[in-house]
Amino acid sequence: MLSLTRSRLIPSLSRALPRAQAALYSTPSADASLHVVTNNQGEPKVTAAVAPQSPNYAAVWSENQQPRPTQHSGPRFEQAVMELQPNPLSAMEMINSEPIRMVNGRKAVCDGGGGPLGHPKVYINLDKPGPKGCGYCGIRFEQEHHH
Amino acid sequence: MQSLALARSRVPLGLSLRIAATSSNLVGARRLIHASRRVCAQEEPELKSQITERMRAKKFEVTGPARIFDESGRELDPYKGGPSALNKAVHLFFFTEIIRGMWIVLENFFRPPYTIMYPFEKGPLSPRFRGEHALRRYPSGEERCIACKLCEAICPAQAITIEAESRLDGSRRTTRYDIDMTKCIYCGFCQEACPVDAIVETQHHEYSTETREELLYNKEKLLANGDRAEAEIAANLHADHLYR
Repeated sequence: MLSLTRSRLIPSLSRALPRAQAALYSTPSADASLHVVTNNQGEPKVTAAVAPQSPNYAAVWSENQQPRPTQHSGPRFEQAVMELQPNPLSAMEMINSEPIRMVNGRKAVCDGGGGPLGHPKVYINLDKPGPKGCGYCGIRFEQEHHH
Repeated sequence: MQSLALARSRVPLGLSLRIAATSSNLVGARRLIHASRRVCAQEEPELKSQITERMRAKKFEVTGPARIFDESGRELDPYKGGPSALNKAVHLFFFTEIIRGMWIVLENFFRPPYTIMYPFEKGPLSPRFRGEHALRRYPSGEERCIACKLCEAICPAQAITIEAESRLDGSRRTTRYDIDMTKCIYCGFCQEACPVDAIVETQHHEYSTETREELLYNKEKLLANGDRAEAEIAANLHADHLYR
């Protein structure tokens, strides 16, 4: 029931989540969180690695975004169970995997869908080539040429 | 039972009328009428008109109670239809108020209790309930928050901190959205200020923590809250959208 409603409300979330979980759990966790570097003396030195920022996108998606902390990033996280920390999906990756909507005509209309649950209605000019994204919900529109 | 209650409700009306009639201080009389029970509210226009009529009558008539006449010149009895002196005396001397109160206690004694087994069984919550915060997404998966910072501006406790930046795909979103839940006073101004319903207060209210740091929520925590409760939040917003 819950998964049904969730898949209806956030279709791309339910689409992306199993893939992301499969990708997350297929890699050995020790390799993902730690880099073992051998220094000059030959003894291995464990350094903190960059944790995957989200289950579906490993790197940060903004220039000054704080990277996701690991257990070795400081005393605060030493005893924290990092697997239990909230780890939502990257919105950028989800919107990138959303298909481009082809539109007949020069402008697209987007109000987010769902009537009162959407966003303010915007008209998007599609004259220039290439997909144009909605500034609110990120869905990309492109003009369909018939010649 | 019903007739008793009706009879009782008329008593203060009659009393206050009498006070109004006998009192020379008309302001005091009005105050007494307003302090009496709500039954008066229905007959208030009539009372007011009587008082103004009496105020006019008082100017010419120095002594004696005010008398009311209808169009054909017959005198009207202001106490007509009210409880009789015998009726009032019965209620006064037989303590009917006490007996009626005890009857209500007896009724509730035989009803099932209102108590619920709280942690396992929970009472209903309003769709406007203001609990733990959450950040919502569109059905496409995009975050709703466009970093307009209206919630940060309106927050009276200054519990919200936002930093925004362009993302790699060019969309301007928040890189940091922190809510200090120890500062938050749950006024709901943030969700009222939000133009895209991104920050909402969910109906989840049982999130006590062991340390203070766990109550300093970041964007990941808020988005995870929103993903978990999206069906509930959307249903609540839709139930309330006609009133916002």
